[in-house]
Amino acid sequence: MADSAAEARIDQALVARVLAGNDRRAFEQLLRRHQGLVRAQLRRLVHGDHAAADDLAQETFLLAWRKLGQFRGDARFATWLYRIAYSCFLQAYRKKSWHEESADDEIIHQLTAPSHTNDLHVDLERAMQRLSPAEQTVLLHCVQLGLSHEEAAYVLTMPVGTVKSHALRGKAKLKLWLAPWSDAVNEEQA
Amino acid sequence: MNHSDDSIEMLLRRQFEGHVADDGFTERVMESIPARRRRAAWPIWTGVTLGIAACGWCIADLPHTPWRNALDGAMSTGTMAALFAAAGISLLACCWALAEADDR
Repeated sequence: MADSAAEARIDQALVARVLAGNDRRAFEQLLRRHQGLVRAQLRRLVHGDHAAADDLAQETFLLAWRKLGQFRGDARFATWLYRIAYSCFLQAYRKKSWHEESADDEIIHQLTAPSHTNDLHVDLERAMQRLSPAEQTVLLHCVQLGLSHEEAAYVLTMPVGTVKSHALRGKAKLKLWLAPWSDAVNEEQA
Repeated sequence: MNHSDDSIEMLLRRQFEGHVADDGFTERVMESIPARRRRAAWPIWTGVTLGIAACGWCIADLPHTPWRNALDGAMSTGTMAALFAAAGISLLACCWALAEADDR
């Protein structure tokens, strides 16, 4: 908690430097600090299309540069960036469906990797693909990116109650589908 | 949160690739960002001042304007209407400002 408060103070100081003196180097530091997780978020959202994810990440940071004056510090800077990134993804999503591609990917997995069918992580990936887009997105933000329900609600522009119910439903489905793996899961956890 | 929820969360975290290495991404973005232009405040304030001066000039010589009646202490129907209109506009501006603040 103390670490995240210190990180937030560093981000605030860098934002203030950019706004006060049009300091490109301060923005570069912000970019270096946050590009890794923003690109990881987008890679998951576009189902592993790295080039598309990087294009969206670039668009995200350009928008952040233009709109930095609107950052009030109510949310963490990282959360603000995730929100811009998610909004860029949604705009691109309306033009191009990654779901169609993911269906193709599923077929390719089945054709080329029969020897991995016993792999828990392959099954987890497939189980994730079977979740609804909203459940996948909520689990990505709440569990994998480690946001609180309130932060995820801010990023996804959803009510907090909806975020919680998608998270619960998503985890319940995964638990059901991965039930045959429960021993292996417990071994991994140990 | 129960034990199996913990297991699913642990699996999901392990499956997530996490932080992506920079590999020149920062340089590419920094090359593409445009110079930030400061928006000058003087055109807005010049416009506001000219607008107020023009309004004042237009109504200054009119003998029966509501504001002149108000200054003379005569609360005519026109004066009351002008005051209600001003109060209504102020209230709407406050609501708008509050809604904008909520959105941020």
